Amino acid sequence: MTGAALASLLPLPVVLPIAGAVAAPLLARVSARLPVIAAVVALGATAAVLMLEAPGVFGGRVLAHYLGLWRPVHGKALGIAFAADPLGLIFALAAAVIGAILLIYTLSELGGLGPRELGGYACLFQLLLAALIGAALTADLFDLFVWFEVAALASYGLTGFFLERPIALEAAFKILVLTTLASFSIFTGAGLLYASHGALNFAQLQAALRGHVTTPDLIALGLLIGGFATKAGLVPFHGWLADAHTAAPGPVSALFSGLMVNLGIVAIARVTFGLYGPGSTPVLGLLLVAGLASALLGAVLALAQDDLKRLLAYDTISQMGILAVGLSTGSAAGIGGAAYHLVNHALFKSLLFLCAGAVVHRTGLTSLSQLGGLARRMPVVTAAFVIGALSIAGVPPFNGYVSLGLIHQGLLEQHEAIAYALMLAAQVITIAALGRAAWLAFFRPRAQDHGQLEQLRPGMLAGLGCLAGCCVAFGVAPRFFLETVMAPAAAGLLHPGRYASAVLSGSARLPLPGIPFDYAPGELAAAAAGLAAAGILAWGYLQIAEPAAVRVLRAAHNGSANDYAAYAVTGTLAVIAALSLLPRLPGHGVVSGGIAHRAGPGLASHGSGRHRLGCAEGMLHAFVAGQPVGESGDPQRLGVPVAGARQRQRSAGGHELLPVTDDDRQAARVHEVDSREVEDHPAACPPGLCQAVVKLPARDDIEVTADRDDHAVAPALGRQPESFHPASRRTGPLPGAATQAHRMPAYPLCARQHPPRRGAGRPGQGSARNISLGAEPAAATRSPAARPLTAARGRERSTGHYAARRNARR
Amino acid sequence: MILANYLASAALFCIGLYAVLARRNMIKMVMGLSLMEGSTYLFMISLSYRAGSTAPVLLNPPPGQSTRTLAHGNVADPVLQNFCLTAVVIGVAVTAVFLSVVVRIAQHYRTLDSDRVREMRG
Amino acid sequence: MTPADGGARPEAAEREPLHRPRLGAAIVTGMAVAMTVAVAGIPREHSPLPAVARYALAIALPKWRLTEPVNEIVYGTRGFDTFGETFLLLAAVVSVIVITRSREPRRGYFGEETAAGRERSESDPAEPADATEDAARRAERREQDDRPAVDQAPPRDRDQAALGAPAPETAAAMTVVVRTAIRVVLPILAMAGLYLVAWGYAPGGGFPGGAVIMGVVLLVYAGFGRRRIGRAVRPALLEGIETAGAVAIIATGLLGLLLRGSFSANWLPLAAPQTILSGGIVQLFSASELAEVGTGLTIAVFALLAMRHDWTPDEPGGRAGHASGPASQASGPADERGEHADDRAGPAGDPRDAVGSARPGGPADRSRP
Repeated sequence: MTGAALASLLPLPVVLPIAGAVAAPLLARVSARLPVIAAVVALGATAAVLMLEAPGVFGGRVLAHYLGLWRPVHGKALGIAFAADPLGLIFALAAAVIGAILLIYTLSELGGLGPRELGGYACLFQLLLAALIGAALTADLFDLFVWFEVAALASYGLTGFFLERPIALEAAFKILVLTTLASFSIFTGAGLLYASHGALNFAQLQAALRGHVTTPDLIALGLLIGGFATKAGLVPFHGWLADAHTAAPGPVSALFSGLMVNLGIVAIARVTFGLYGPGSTPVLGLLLVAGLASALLGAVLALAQDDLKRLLAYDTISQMGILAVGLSTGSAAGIGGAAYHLVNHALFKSLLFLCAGAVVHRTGLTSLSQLGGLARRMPVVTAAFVIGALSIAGVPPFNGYVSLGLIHQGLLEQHEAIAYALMLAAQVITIAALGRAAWLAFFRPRAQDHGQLEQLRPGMLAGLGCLAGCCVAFGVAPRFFLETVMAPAAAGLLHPGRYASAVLSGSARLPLPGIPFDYAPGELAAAAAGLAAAGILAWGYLQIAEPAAVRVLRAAHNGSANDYAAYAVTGTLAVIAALSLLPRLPGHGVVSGGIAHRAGPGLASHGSGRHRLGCAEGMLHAFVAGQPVGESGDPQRLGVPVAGARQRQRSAGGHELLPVTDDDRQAARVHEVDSREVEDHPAACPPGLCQAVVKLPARDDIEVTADRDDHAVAPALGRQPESFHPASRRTGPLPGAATQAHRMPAYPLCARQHPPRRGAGRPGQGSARNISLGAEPAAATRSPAARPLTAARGRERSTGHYAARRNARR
Repeated sequence: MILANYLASAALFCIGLYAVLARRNMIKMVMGLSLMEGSTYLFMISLSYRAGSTAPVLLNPPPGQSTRTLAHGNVADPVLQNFCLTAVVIGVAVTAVFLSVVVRIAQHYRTLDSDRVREMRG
Repeated sequence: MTPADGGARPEAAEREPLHRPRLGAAIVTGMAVAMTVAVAGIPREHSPLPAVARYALAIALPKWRLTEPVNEIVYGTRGFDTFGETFLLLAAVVSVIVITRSREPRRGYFGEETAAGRERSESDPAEPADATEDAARRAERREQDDRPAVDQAPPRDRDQAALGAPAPETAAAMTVVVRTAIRVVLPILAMAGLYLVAWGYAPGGGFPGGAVIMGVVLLVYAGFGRRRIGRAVRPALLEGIETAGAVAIIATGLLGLLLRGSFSANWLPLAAPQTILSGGIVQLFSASELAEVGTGLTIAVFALLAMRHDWTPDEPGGRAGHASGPASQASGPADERGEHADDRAGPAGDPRDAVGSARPGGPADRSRP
């Protein structure tokens, strides 16, 4: 199938489980188990469709599709985009496959429920899975919010499922309060982003946020992160997680821990890497701090728990912290490790929760102090639990070792020694917690034997076996999975520009990083030492009383919904404050770009970054065109039209008019390319004016070429030429005089024009002319070309070569 | 600046958030969340307003304008109104689920005080 | 904050703990400041319309041949968002049904029920219900069993009632003024709801239409009582219409995929603007949405109203619910108070049958140990 046809199938994985969910209440009238069987079939079909897409996407492509065929116009998206990048696809596949396994498990374990109960369960389960798949595959911010909400509402019903347990309803209340606050955060953040930039598409937003991130954008980022972190269960947004996982039915807890909290992390990754770009905000440092706090707090509290499922829930918080730490490294190994850990966590945590659910379902006991001696009675469950525990512990044949090792590698690459040490400490405590749980629940001899316990049914055996087998498989073939799946996933996050250009144009290739992995003896020794330390810690913890620090932490988790909400909102405020008040980390060294307004004779500018090295202070004015995204390292595009390109406008006073996209908002930017970095200077097109002015400090010298397709510039920069638009190039310091442009009275110009190397692209326009720079700003803004924008709106012809070039590229 | 709208939205939001954070009665917490949702509706609609614009209803244009000029002219933002519709539906849905959960909690714990409904602690 | 104590029930403080109002005020102030800074920084009413909105008005609207941009965005261009939202509402309705359901017989041993019994004995209050709670429960049972209030017995012979005495109004219905007004307004409201959807080129759409239809049903319920509305509105019918609406919405999208190659693409011929059928699948989507939203919300409301005390013992120490399966563990001694048994021996069958829900088991399930 062609790429476009494959891409058009992308909504199907969302629609199929929804169809199953709609059919569930009807099927429940026929037979109790039929809804669940239909659900398994629907998820199998979903997995099949996703596997159809898999070869292309995992080969390093991003497939995009616009629903309803509403393709973007001039780079502005009108409809909703669905984009399958490797990270989203692996998450969707995991959701479909593990969801099917959990439903098979439900069929045998909870198959005795009444028909309406089971029908409602199947309906909500499938809606949750459909929402997870939808959120993973969407490329639209508001669509992400809608699927997030669907997942939330389905999770409320599933949490409070066993109505006879009072804790189920209490947990449902707390998850309601916290997730509603989170959805409010996300909604407001999305609304602020739309109001600032007029875009909901990830690609468009990324283009708008490139280089110049204003304070409302940072507040929006803080709100978005606060909301998604609540879903992900990061500290301090985690109040609902332990309660909800304790009270929900076994397979539902597995679904929550294995898949639903991962949705929060995937969304954070999308927003951080895909929208804002990790370098422009201090968000990676925040993720590191939050991740380490979650890892430690989750591990310590897991060690102190008495309830088996609550222990596993706190371990989920810890693992989410480790995921956040992996993401925060920003390197290929770290992010690849985080993606690997995402899948691994889905596998081993589902396994552990299914075991815990089996224990509760058979014995009716939930607390570790009352359990014990189950190894003889439930050997299969014990074995599965041990496999899951060993996987989390990072013991080599199992999958945890690979992903944790990769994250360690990422941390060490970034020279984060303290973070590495803290993460190791969290891992040791986690292993101790699980070891203690295994001992107390399964291996400890119990004085009074359990009564007759039910045998395992085939569905349960199948479910446990599948998950355990996958844990082993992902552990023994790490390089295979790294190459085929995880490296592309990391590439998708590390190259957001490619993702964005795929979303705008339909598909794009991702450069695949090589992520080396081998069983280094140092890591193995560290793992062994960690196991030994954990064993000692677990043994010690069984003997001593609760230390004071743990008692304080437990007292802070006092079960009150108000207090948990207070923690979450305080966390959101802290994130917002940190993002907006901390100095922006040095990323790509943004040269100050200006946004020129029409107000007044002088040009007002706002927003300035750091200067780079350079020459004298000066201002350079250029008319530039709006261009879609590129990314660091790509030769950038600067549309330089020729006279007559805009048929309705004359160039003003010797200036070249560059086509501005028919957009009332920020439409213009200039991309400067030099041998190292690419800058992006958003400029505004004031309404009513078809030109944009960018004010740049001319310490750096802008050389603008009218080279249409880059052939001259690119080799000089050591890159392959692409058939894009002309690039501007930064050269060395120039003598101050501009050419035929007017001299700016107060500002010396450091610009030079460069004769074009190639002819014009459009017939009838004569030879390509140069851009002339440096006009009197007041004159510039009062140029006669200040026609109302409506005259040119919607007419693709008037954008001259720019439109022609774009159409040719499609 | 339609200051009154933004101030009202801010006031609703603050009252709602305060109710969620500081009030123990579960019904009051639900009402607080409803108030917060109401503030977002007002906020979105106010954001969609443009100075001197008319509603994005092209059916009966104001006198002096045709449908075509209205489409190219000054109307409020319909996309944010879509946001708001979605948010209204979400609010209804969440409030329905909330109230049913609160009634069940009241049946079990026989109280509406969230400080008494704290079985899972630590 | 009370420290975590082993198994004792948490006691609420005598006064409101002081830290909450202060902390709450501080947090609220912080968030208000953050939001003010954000709103001050974004372009507001003096900025031009974003391109998406501009295109929706100038490009998409003529393509759909509609005149209502909001409808076109909601059901047409960004129809997938609305698709998600429909199933959000479905998830909410099913969640409400799951949370408000009554007991059904279960097969097999459920350890959760044992755990539940233990948790209930630990956490549910042991003290008996006080007088107000008792009265409230009795009134609730009376309403659900649909019996008249015992202290408002009408006189045996209406002719013997004193002249000028107000007509005996039962608790089941409102006054004659209200009932007459409802009878007059009902068809107008129903027509208004359908009107909102039918004329797709005017503001409206499925969501407001569905809400109006739900309002109509609720008006009848409020004015005439459960029995009257229960004859017309049965859960089977409602669920059927809701499923039909949902299936129509899914099919609309899938047919777009099959016929036009993309999920929410328009595959219906576009009628002339400003007619009922204008807009292609926008109208189809909107009408299906009406069915789905109206019936879904009605189901949710009636499910809420029909919640019983199936899952908790009505009297402390009593058995929880009646329709539990034979193997489930009871929580306490199975003593029935007289009144309890009396109320349960009321009308045969589940009183919810007044609203028409088909209970899976029959009265035979109301087994008592």
